[in-house]
Amino acid sequence: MAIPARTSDREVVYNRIPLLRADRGISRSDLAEALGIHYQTVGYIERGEYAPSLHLALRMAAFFALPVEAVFSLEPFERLGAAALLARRARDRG
Amino acid sequence: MVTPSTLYRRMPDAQQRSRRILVLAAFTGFPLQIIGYTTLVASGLLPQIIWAPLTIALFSATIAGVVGIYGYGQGRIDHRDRLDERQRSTVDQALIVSYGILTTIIVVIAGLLAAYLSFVGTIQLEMGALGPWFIAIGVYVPLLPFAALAWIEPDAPPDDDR
Repeated sequence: MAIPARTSDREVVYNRIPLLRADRGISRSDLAEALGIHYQTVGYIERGEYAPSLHLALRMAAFFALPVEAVFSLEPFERLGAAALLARRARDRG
Repeated sequence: MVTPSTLYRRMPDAQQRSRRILVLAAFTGFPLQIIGYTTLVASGLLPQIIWAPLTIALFSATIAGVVGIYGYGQGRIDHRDRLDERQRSTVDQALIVSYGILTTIIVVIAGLLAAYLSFVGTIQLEMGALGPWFIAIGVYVPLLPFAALAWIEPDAPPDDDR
């Protein structure tokens, strides 16, 4: 799931945090505690109502052990359809 | 029963709609009380026995609004070091909004005074008439950043268990 964060009408930042949290079984509070921010801030970022600073974005990406462009993007992330899930399952098996 | 103490404790989780109602209550209760008294009671249009419960209601609305607004902003306006970057950004925005409102009010009042003094005549100041203004300035100016914060901050997303 990709959610846009609008800092203005032209600046849109999409993120995959809800998907990554769900994948790793991490609550907003857990993520917030690990990053030293308020749990509501995680919610605002996920919901697209706050675009984090570069520093916080890098720390979030580091928390998920992913490059920052895998967590945040200026373009909408591709939806994970059935084809992508099957390809991932095949990759995991093989 | 909601006492000022319980209202103060519950406010950090209050929804934006409730917060805005409290802001309106705080900023309209006292002025309406003063305007109502001077226009209706002091002029003899309304007996004091009828005005008394209205005064109590308006004053209670002001108190509830002020307590609620301070309750929402508790520890946020005056303790920036405890906030994360989003909270600091929201507080900065609230301060900008409140300074903008204050500047606008000062400019408008100065303009009206200048126009009155230029085109109508002199103004005779009496301590009795200035009293409500001093109270309003003393109560509302420090409250402005808290009120702006309570007004502008969107509802917090609900937390999840997992």
